[in-house]
Amino acid sequence: MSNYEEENIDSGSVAGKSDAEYKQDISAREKEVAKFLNQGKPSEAIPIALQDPPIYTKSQAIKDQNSAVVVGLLGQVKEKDVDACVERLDADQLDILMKYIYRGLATGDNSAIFFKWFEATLKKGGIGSVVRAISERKTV
Amino acid sequence: MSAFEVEHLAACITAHAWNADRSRVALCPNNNEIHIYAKQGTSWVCEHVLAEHDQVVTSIDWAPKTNRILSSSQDRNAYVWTFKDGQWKPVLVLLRINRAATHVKWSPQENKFAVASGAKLVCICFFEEEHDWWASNHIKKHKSTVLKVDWHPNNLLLATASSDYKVRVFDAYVKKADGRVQRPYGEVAFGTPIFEFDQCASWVHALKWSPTGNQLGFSSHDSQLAVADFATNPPTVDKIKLRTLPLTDLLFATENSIVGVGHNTSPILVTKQGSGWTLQGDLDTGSGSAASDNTSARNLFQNKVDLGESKVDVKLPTVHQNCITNIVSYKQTGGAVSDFSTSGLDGNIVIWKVKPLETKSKLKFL
Repeated sequence: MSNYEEENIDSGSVAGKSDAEYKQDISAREKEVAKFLNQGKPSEAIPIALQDPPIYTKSQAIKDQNSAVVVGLLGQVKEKDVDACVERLDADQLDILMKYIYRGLATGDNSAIFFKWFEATLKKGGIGSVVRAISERKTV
Repeated sequence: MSAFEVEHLAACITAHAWNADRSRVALCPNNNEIHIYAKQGTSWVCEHVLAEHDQVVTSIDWAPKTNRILSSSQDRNAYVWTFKDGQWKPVLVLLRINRAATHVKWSPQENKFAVASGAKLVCICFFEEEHDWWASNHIKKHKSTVLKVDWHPNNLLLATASSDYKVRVFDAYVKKADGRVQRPYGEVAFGTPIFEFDQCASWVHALKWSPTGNQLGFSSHDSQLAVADFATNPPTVDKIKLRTLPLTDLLFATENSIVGVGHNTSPILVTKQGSGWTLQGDLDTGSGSAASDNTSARNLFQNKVDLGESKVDVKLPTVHQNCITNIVSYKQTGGAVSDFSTSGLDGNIVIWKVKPLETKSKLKFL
């Protein structure tokens, strides 16, 4: 018997939406983000993209779907705009952003921009935001 | 007056506890022994070595009124030590657990104690006169290791912090030890959580009741500190995100001030202003002259490249040179903690004095 049963621990938190609702929300957000991208204003779409990440779902496909939207957007922001973008976010948004920065770095593509994001977020959120991104079980 | 006194007593300290008049300290130097140091003049002298445990001692608690030492270890045992004829005599506690004991705590009246363990349960231990031994009742309901326990000042409620991300409050009434007493939440069945807090998103490392017992502070591995206020039912929880590394132990210096220690080398101060808790900052502002963390880490590698030195003495600007694992109240004046002591992986025991500390760090205890 393993002394540490992760499934047992997670079972308590069933808050949040159903998978179908998450899917719907993500598609809606994707359209909105695309609108800003077409207008050439990716930095204004950041707060929208960081809304309500699917942390409660068990489906990796949904997490991947949302991550594709956010990570794609982060990659499109110009390096000089990153600091200003981060400056506008509150503490909760910073924590979510940090988790997506880690997802972005995990892909191995376009790392330069993600390191820039990392630097700016670390400066504002402190090392605590990195600790939360790594230790929290509610992954994005 | 200096803001702190440092005493280097071991290579690494896993736990420490003071006796009632603070003339002696019991500590575990990261092995199976407990060393008792006594202050003689200006130096600390090792008086006794208590070697009954087989593995690393995880926690020590020294009962001030009855002068008994309680210790727990990874060897799945706990001992109650009594001082008789110049010797500390151990008595084994019947814990009946199959994993390490992680934390121990005497109840305020010292008629029973709690032992947290890796066996996903807490033992409430009490003395059975007829058998002349310490027996235990088990509080289960945890889904993972219990890391810390703390007694409410009323001697009945027990709060537990667990690596299943939850903090629970139990009624730890034991008929044999407590007799007939008024219980705060009525006749709750033994081992049923009265409150369960799921605000933490990772292992809960530390928790403490406030001096009045109206508030419960807890901190977790996701660098958050939460304080539950029991004035309302259900309690309201105020949560703050820290900028620094996670906290592993807490101390309520007053009802409205918490000192937190942990993976950072400096204790931090969190105070309550109005209804919300806010982070005030580092209490150990350092010597100021030493290089910042980033540059000292860089120097380490630079030296390796330039000079071929593999070992460079990197001295941090803070008093503690490594993680702080314990914080204990050392002296109380007028209901508030005026001195507190910390110990950590660097083997230092540091006694901090609140008044000069306030002046030095420019922070205010409330």
